[in-house]
Amino acid sequence: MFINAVVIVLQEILEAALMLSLLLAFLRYFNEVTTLSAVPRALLLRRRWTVYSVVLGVVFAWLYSVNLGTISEAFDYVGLEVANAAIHSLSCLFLVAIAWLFPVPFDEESDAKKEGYPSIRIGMLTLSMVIVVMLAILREGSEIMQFAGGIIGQHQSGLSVLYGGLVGAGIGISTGVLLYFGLTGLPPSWSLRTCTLLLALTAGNMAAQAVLLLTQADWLPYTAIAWDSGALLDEASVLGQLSYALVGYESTPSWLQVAAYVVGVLAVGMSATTRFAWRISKSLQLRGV
Amino acid sequence: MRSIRVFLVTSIVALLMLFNFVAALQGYQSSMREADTLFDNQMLDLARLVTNLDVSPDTSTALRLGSDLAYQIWQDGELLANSSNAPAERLHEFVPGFDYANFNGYRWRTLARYDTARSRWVFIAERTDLRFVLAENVVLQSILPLLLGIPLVGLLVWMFVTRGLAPLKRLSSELRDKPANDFSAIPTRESRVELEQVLSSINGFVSRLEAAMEREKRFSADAAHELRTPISALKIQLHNLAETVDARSPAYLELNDGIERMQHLIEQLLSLYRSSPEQFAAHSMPLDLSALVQDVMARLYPVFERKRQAISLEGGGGDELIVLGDRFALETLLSNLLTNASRYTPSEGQVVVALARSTDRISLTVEDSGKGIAEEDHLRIFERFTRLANEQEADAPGCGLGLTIVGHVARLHGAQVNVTQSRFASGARFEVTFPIGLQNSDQHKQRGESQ
Amino acid sequence: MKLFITVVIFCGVISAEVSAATLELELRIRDHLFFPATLEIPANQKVKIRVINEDPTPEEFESFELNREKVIVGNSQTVIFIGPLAPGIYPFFGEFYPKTAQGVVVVTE
Repeated sequence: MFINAVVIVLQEILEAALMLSLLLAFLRYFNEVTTLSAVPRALLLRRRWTVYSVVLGVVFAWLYSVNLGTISEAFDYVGLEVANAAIHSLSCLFLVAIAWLFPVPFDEESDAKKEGYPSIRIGMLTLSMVIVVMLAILREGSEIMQFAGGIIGQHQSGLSVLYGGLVGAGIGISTGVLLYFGLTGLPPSWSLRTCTLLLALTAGNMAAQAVLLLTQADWLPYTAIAWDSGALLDEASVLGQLSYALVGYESTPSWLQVAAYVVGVLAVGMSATTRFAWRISKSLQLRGV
Repeated sequence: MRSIRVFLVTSIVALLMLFNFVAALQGYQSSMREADTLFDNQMLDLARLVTNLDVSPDTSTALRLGSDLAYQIWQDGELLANSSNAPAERLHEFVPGFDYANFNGYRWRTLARYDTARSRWVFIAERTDLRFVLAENVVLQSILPLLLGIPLVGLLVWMFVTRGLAPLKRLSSELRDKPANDFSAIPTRESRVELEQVLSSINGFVSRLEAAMEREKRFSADAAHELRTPISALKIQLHNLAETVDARSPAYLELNDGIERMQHLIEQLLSLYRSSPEQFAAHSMPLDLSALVQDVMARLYPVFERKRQAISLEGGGGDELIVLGDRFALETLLSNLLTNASRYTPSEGQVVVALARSTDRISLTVEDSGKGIAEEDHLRIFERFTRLANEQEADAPGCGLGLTIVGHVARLHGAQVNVTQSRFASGARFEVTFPIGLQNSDQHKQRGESQ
Repeated sequence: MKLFITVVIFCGVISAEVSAATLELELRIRDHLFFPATLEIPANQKVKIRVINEDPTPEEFESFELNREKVIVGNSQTVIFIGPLAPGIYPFFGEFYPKTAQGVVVVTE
């Protein structure tokens, strides 16, 4: 039972940990840039929200896990897929919101440095981050709780499951920590670009997952398999799992999944560049061009 | 604030944990594969043994197998013999090799072996869950140290990193505890390669700072002293002049004013020097603020009387208003605040001095009914030689050092100066708040900073 | 965006042609085992698998080859749609008890 526990806990923790690392890296970037400028300290993003979102996530995961049977029976036994698809779509939506709300002063002329960020925008950004992390933990936590709940009944394998869970959690959390240090160790503008890219891929992943779940529920039509890269990178391998958690790698995606992935990536990319373009035009105005 | 130690410890522990656990996982998987082949080989041995059995009705009793093993012997599509826990139907296809099958509510590893000599099929089955648990118990024993070692390794990493950073910590505490007037070099006996540049640079800065401080001190003191003598001479000359020239002539009065202003400037420069940290440290003692205020007020009474201004004192009666500080410096602070108040308040205006004590601070406020100070000037007025635009036409002999000295003295005492609107229709309110209790350490810190 | 809509409609047309009828199969989970352990289905047909978990413990139906993943609570049933699939062998397993809960979907012409 050791390896089962490792696989399940690792899968779930990895996704949540990577999401948290990514957002914390964003936060670090933001605060680092703003402390250098004249923005009042009150507008700095606080890290305390992560605690709230983790606690909320665990509470909701528990509620979800307890009511899984009822949810599962809804919509003619595909309630679980529908609920999960809703969670994934919401995550995707709020990831796009984060990309849109994230204020980025690239240069000295940026208006943000001159005027400071509107606090309502900071509030909305923080809220979006809380929701995204909470949803990630809700998604992944409920599965761990189901697994653990089933195991607790049979005490014979309890210890090996515990060790497995610890190893899984250890690998997942370490990877998250190292990703965070990796992202924050990059030069600031690269750090921002990499974070935005990962954010876009995560949003694509969420959209593709939502589509896959709705296909599984027969709410969306079946579409042909786009490609099979299983020989290149096995989805069940450690590297495959890591790529799945980080960028939503799937060895045999359907065309509809691919389309949803592209839409998710473009949505983040577009909101990031629109914001960037808006900022550029404003800074041009400030210069009187 | 980011911490070097937290970064080092978390990143090292994360790396160690990642590699250790992935290694443990790899070890687990390869050991489990090994165990699987071992079990399969046992099944092959068992199959050979079963093939050579003489099949008789009591075979099942003669061959006692555990409940985790089952066998069947088939010949020409007939079941010749089987263990009691084997199913009635054949548990494997008539194809030699290993496979899996579900029966009796369990999953079994199955093996088919055909014996050409006896033209028999022998099927062996072993419960997968049991052999898995057996193998896992063994394998887990070997990877457990990797898992349980992590907290210990984390603790050791923490200790080593702390030890590694100790010279840096010692350096920073040495810098913190260094008295403000101590310009000696920081000892380099415990230096590390990484700290050598930092230390030598700091020591270089300190010695240059000492030289600069010395120069400044000597200059301001010398200049003030040297200037005093000619000023006194000038005053005497002016006095003598009054006997031959009309003392009310505009030229005489302007000369008189000019000399007064210069004398005032020199006095202020001298007190700025006297309120330097070294002077302060030498003269610090507990003082009754209330008595001190009354003293200064009495001394400055003629100033207020001249302009027919009303000056009053509020509070300060029963309360304990003891402040640790330098008497001369505090007197300078007060007299500067009071002269300022008088100067910028028109004739027949009002000035109120108030003393109050709360649980953790003593506050001294001076309010006037003058013109007041525009909000954008609140910070600027404490800078040296700042004179506000509307001051230029004022008749006062100000030089722009008064509030600089106030701010300076307040900082030395760990006190804060705030400027706000006064209680009157117009006018400024200066509030100096002295902390109680913390005062000592604050002074210490402030002294360090002011250097 | 236009391209995306076109793709969606295009896919929709293809899928409408393929999944004309839906076949329904039953898969039971008992003692962490799948019954039957082999599901035979025809190629290019959508199949509705009714999964009945007779164990008190939850199980997760998972298959990388089928791209399916679904938790089934103890003593309950659920539905999983698979296909249309090309001929071949598609293993599936119970993620919570993968040592015993193993099965395959065999797709034949």
